Amino acid sequence: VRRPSEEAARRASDHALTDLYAAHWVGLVRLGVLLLRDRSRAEEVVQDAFVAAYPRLARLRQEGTALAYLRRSVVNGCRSGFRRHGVEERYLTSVRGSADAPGRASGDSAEMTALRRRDDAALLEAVHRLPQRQREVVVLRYYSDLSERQIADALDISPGSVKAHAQRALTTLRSTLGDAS
Amino acid sequence: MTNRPGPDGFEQLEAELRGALSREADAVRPDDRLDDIRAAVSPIRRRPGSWWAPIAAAAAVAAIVVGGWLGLRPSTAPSPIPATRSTIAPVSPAPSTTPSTSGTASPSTEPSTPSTPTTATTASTTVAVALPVYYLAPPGSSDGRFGLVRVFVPGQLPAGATVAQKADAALAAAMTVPADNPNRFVAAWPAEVTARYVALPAPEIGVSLSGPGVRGLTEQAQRLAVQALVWTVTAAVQQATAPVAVTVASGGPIFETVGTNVFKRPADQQVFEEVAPIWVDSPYPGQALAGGKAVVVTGLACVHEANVTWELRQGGSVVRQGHTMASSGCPQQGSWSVGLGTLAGGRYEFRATEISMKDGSVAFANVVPFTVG
Repeated sequence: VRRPSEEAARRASDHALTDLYAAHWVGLVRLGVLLLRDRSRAEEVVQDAFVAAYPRLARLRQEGTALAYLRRSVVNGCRSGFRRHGVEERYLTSVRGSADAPGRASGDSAEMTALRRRDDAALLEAVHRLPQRQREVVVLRYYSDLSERQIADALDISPGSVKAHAQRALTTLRSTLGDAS
Repeated sequence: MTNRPGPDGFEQLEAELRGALSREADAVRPDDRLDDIRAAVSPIRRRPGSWWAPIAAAAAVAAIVVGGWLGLRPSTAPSPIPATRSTIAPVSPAPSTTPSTSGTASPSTEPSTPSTPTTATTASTTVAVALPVYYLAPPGSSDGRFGLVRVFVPGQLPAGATVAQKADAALAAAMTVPADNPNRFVAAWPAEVTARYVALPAPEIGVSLSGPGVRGLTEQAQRLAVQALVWTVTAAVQQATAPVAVTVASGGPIFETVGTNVFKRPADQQVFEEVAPIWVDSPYPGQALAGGKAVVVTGLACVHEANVTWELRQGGSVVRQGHTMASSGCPQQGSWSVGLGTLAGGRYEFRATEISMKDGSVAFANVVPFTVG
């Protein structure tokens, strides 16, 4: 039998879960997909983040820090998953990013659409091959549109390190894409 | 979006990054997992009086998984593997539904970065891999055509395996249809015939067959049986567009109507001419999924109006069925997924089918057996 205070805490967390899920589930899964390039695993990471945060969701929402907390959990979870599945993932993504990949084939689309997809694929592949920290900085800056301070908080590094990782990443990407063209 | 300024001199690249990441993310349509999250935090699953029980359990599982993964990390020099039919030994790598956030499972105030255990003592010289292997599937109807089906075959490779080792392992798997073969993949190669990767001056790569394929296949099947090796070896070496020179060591043609030659995957626009209508990427055939986690089936399809019909069977009975849409219709391959939710333990069979627009019959079926632990 739960005590009344426990019951109230559970109800508050349930409400917070419903609201935060509606607001952030899709965006966080998309963030996870950009870091992992695997939708199913990204969903698992985000699901686990919600489950782990559940007891304190009400407080986090009240403090206005829920999204930052969940985002940090997702980035950490993706990093863990990426390491664990590293070898297998390199194979899977190498195939999915090539000629037989979903959405990569041009089919009967307009020529410009096909060219854009091809360019996107090359750029995304280059992003995926960046060192882990640089990849995280790139995704958080250019997809999540976070400030250096917010990225530093999410990755638990200094703003100066964020700037350095971003600079190195862009230099590498320009070099890689320039070499490929 | 505010397009925050980045380092000077990269404005165009930054704009391209924003566009590419945004388009990639926008294409993602996550499944609804609110019920699964609610089930995971349900009081029913907690020990009485223990708020943290499910989280502690998740942390324990995650710790075991991390330990298991580390157990696969190499500590000694890799040993070469022979290119034989036994190269790919079925293993049980961590299923896609394995809990994956040891950091997020921590009950500490802030989410923690997953730590890197340093106490693993059972290191191995091999690592678990999932090799993309292409098989030849028969037509689903009398007026249909053969097509290639991609299957991720679990196996083990030496740590730091060379390109040749990867290619040989994938080719060995491609030469023999799986023992459990519900999709009736065509056995195009006699049991004694082997295939080996041959390094050639770039951009070409080579495949050397010890003998010709079986006789009596249709002309289209003969051509696609060779293409299955081309798709497999180019995937293994991660050079999708490489020309592949296929030779027969014993001399003569590969099949009655296909001589030795240099082959390639088709251009993107013609891929639909070689692939089977529906692929299932996950779970892979025979995969053992962890219980208590939502099962999501994913794959690719090149079918009419992007419509994929599916059934979940158990013990021969249909326990669930439905339709889903791929992200695009043929001639493009579109991605699709089906969320099955949390399944009770047992053996299941997932059947993804293309229904004929002409008469409603099953034009093609891709069957994947799997178990939930």
